[in-house]
Amino acid sequence: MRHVLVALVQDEPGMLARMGNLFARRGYNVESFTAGASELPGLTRITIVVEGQSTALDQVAKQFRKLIGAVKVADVTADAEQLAHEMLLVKVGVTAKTRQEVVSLADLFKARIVDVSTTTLLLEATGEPDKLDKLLEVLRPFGIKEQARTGAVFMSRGAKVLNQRPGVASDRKYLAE
Amino acid sequence: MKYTGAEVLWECLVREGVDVIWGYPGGAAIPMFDALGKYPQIHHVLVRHEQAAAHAADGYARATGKVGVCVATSGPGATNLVTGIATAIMDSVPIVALTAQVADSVIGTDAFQEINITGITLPITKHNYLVRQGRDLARILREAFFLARTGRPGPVLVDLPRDILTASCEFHYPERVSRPGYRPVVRSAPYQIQRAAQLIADAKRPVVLAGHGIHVATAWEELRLFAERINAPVVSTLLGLSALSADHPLCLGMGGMHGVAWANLAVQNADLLIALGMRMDDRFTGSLPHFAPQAKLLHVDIDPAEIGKRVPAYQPMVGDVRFVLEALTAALPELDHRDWLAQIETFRERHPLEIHGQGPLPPQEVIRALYQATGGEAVVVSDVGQHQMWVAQHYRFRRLNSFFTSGGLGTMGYSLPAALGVQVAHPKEPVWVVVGDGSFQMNLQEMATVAQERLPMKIVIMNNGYLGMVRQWQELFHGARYIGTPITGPDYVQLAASFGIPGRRVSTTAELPAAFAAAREQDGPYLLDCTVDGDENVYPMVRPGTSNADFMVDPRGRARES
Repeated sequence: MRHVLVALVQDEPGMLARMGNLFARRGYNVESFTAGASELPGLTRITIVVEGQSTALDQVAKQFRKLIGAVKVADVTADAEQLAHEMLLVKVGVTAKTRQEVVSLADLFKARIVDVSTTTLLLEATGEPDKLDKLLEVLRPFGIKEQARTGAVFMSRGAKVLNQRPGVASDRKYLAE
Repeated sequence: MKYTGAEVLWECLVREGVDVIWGYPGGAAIPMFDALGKYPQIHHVLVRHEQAAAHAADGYARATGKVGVCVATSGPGATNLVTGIATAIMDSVPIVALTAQVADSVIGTDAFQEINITGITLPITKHNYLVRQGRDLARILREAFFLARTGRPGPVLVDLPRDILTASCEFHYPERVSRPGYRPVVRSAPYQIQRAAQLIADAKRPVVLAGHGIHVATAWEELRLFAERINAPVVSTLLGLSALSADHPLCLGMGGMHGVAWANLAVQNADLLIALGMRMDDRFTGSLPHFAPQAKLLHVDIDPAEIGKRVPAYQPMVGDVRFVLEALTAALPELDHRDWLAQIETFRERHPLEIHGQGPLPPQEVIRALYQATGGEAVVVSDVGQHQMWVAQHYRFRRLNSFFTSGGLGTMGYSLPAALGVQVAHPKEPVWVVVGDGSFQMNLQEMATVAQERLPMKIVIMNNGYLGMVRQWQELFHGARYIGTPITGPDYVQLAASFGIPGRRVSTTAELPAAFAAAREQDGPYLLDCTVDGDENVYPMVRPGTSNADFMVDPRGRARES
């Protein structure tokens, strides 16, 4: 099953290697891994989408939480209020004939055209990963020359924030007082 | 006042109360050692191989509960520490490993004796650091000691570039450590205590499983009071031995692959397991589907990741085992399990631990002689292999926290160097090293350190001419094809003499009492080379992948019974 872990980690050397080592040791296939500055100085926000069995992933989440420098780790897989957004850059081959058609498709998906050449259009789109998959699907017949996706970042809708969550979901019952 | 980086290093260690370190100098480490001359309060023990420095720090830490410190130079010095660091993380032992590194300005250029030791030790340390700025040095060392000893203890490595050691910097030792996110849970929640107490009160056949966590938490007294209050038998893991005196009527000894039969049968027939600071290692549980089939598991550990890792917990409890035991004992009335204890006695009567060997010197007799000579009050450091299991089975530990061995990693060559540290923790009495001839030959160079430091330890070699545990598996499971296991060795008595250590050879059971008396009466170190019967196996033994209730027993014993 597909799991989503969101974490706040201290911004220090070696942190990336430590996290990578955790997943590599158990042979997990990491679908996407994103890292960027959080709202808290010195803390990086990490989003990891990973395929694996729930029980085994539970163990990885616990081991992740043990890393010195991991300030918060939450398994948000079950959170229905979760917003997941990703960004896509895609370079589509066009001819004078097909260019307008691609422009209308981009419009339909609220994708921006960020570069134009005689033979290509470069599109930038953001949104749910499924929506980006669909966009790629309809663009495929025109010829996708190159694509780059950032991997999804996640955030809860509503007022709750990650920094106030009680850690890994399965650990919640272990936290004392 | 300005200090050099190297001076800051030793100032920090002095503030951490470090008075002994084990190490080996080298090019990049020269500034470190140079400054050490100004700190006579720190005694440096020169080992003969860096692996021994890590094991010595480990032995010291296990015996004192304090952080052990080892020092090595860059490159090969640092890589030689690796086995010792891995041994420490597997057994949750607090050590700080200090490695010199090439100058910061040339890191990443494959300079002479440069190795990425923080990369290499990433999976085998609780945490590690490469110091990039002199001003970070004191904070990092403060954190290193704090992380090593708190929560679930473990090794921390600090890599120190040569130019940072020589540059001058300000010294301020931080009072507090700020590691957001690092908050080991020490006190379990009251509702967990209540639930656990109810489980214990309802149990008919409870068994307490005592792991290394009892020693780490210094919870020996709490364990005894708890076991007495609930009138439940105590089974130890390998590292949990000596958590409760072997003389105590509730002490059953070790369970697991080579556990005593009655301990395994108690676990297999239990309806509640109270696991204390132990991680359900495969050598303890045997085949998981067959493990304690009727038992609910109450699992207490300071590391949440250990709970539910191998065996699902009916009632998890994260916390320091000492606190948990105090709280549970207070929450429970006196319980009575005399029927259950009587049933376990029948297990013991049916499957006693006997010596069946008819040769001139059955190896188990050596352990029994050691017990006789020391009254079970000795501090014992064992290596890894058959002799380790015989110690676990036949030596009755009457003294608390008196057994030190490499459990999780099973590091051959551990005992002699670890004893360097254990002996410092117990300076007034000899430490007894029990070691196979295979294990001894992995680190016998440390006899030189023993001699140089005039350590009074006694070395008992169980010399059977084989890598015995592997030979046993070859005999039982691989058609008795002894490939790679016969091993020769030097004349150990002569060899020891050349290091300045007296000794004698023992080759019959009858000689044992006099030989152990001679060893005991020697002021300094002494070596006993015991030529034991080479074809002895460790029994009972649980065949891998089977239930701990289906242990194999010594066929000679079975023949006599029928």
